[in-house]
Amino acid sequence: MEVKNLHKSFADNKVLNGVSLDVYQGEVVSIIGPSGGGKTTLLRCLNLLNEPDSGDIIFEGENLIDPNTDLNKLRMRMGMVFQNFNLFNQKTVMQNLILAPIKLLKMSKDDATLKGINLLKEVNMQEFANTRVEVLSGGQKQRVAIARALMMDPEIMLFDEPTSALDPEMTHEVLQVMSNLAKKGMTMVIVSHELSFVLQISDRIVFIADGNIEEISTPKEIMKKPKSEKTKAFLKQFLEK
Amino acid sequence: MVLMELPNQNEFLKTLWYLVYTYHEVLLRGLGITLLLAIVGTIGGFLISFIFLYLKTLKIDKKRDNTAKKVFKKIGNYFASAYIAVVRGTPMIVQAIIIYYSVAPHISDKIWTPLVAGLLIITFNTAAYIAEIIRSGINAIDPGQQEAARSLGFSNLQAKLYIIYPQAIKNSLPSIGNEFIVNLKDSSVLFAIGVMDLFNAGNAASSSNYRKVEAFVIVALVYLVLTVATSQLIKYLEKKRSKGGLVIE
Repeated sequence: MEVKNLHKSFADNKVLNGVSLDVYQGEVVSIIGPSGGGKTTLLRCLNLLNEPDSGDIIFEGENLIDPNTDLNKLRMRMGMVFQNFNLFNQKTVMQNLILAPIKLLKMSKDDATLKGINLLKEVNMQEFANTRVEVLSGGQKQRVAIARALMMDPEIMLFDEPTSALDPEMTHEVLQVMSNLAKKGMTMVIVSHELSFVLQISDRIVFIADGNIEEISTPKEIMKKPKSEKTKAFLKQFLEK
Repeated sequence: MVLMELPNQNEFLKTLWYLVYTYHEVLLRGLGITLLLAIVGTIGGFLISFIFLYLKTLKIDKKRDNTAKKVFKKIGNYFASAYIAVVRGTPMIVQAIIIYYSVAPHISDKIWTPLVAGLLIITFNTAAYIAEIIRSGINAIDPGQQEAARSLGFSNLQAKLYIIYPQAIKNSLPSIGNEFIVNLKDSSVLFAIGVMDLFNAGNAASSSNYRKVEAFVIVALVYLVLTVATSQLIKYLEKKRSKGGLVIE
């Protein structure tokens, strides 16, 4: 995935000022930085939930910005996990999982259910298949949300602060699922405040502040000698905590 | 049938009994028409409301829509908004008279009977109200539902059909039930175009004997039984539904 010179503003508020970034297959890239710096907006631009004002996003050779691109088709190949889970209400866990594959990939209900059972095992939620999502805990919801995205066999997974709404114990169970995914070679872009986790799991770290990418480094580099002053200040604050 | 003699003016209860006894067929037929109007009006209105709902919630995508699509969406928005404003902003009795008498010269009165006209009028009237009910139900749904659907690859319309509308309808069911109760009562204004509903049965039962009060007390009691029974039924269903929502299957 190639992101070129992305600009985005909400009303007069410039959120992204010409952001460029490449994500390679099998790579885990994490976006960190202070709140309001544009992390989430950048991530949401990657599948066009936020439409950038200008710039290009090229995924597997197709430009998402091009009005002639079939955006829905491309989105089927990109999974997304949200801060607030956004599971479909009034449905069971399994219904959440199989809806998109049945309607969009024309999978049979039996095949989809079988696949759902396997994925629920992977996120350790198999005994909740027929539970209504409303009664699940936050951590359980997020694991279901990850499984729901995986049902579409995405080539890339986007995580938008997946643990920000969770208690510490629940955070752990979600991070566990994410690191398993990374080990399996899933391409992932993660926006997260869980610094120690992203340093552990990521191939590269993107530090973004005030709508600009300040630096892109490996976790080792960024911890040893951050290139920009802003990164330094941000990491210092984190280490003090 | 043995004909009863009309009781004296001061014999209220006797008069009630007399009217029920003498006019029970007229009253029952009126009751049937009122029920028909309310049922068809509410179910038909519910179905048709989706046309207006769809038109009203069309969003123009400046980058991806061509001119024809933009024009269609714009006109659709305006049409639905205007329709809803007119229907909700004028009394149904006025709508009924305008529609019934403007169509009457062009269609045979064997087809365009007061009942047919009344059914259409109440249906299209209810559609406007239910469209607004469901629209506020949609507005109450977390936008994250739509975003999650779009992120999986659902089109805007698919997201609405599979995820948004079912939730909005479920949440709106009590209000739609209330709309049925409103229709039970307000279908009475269709007497103005000659529909022989329960209200008009009251007219028929009192036309030759001038016992208006007694006849309409009977009519009022029937309406009351209908509306109270319906609202109890709605309450019961709501209770069952909210309990069902928490059951772990």
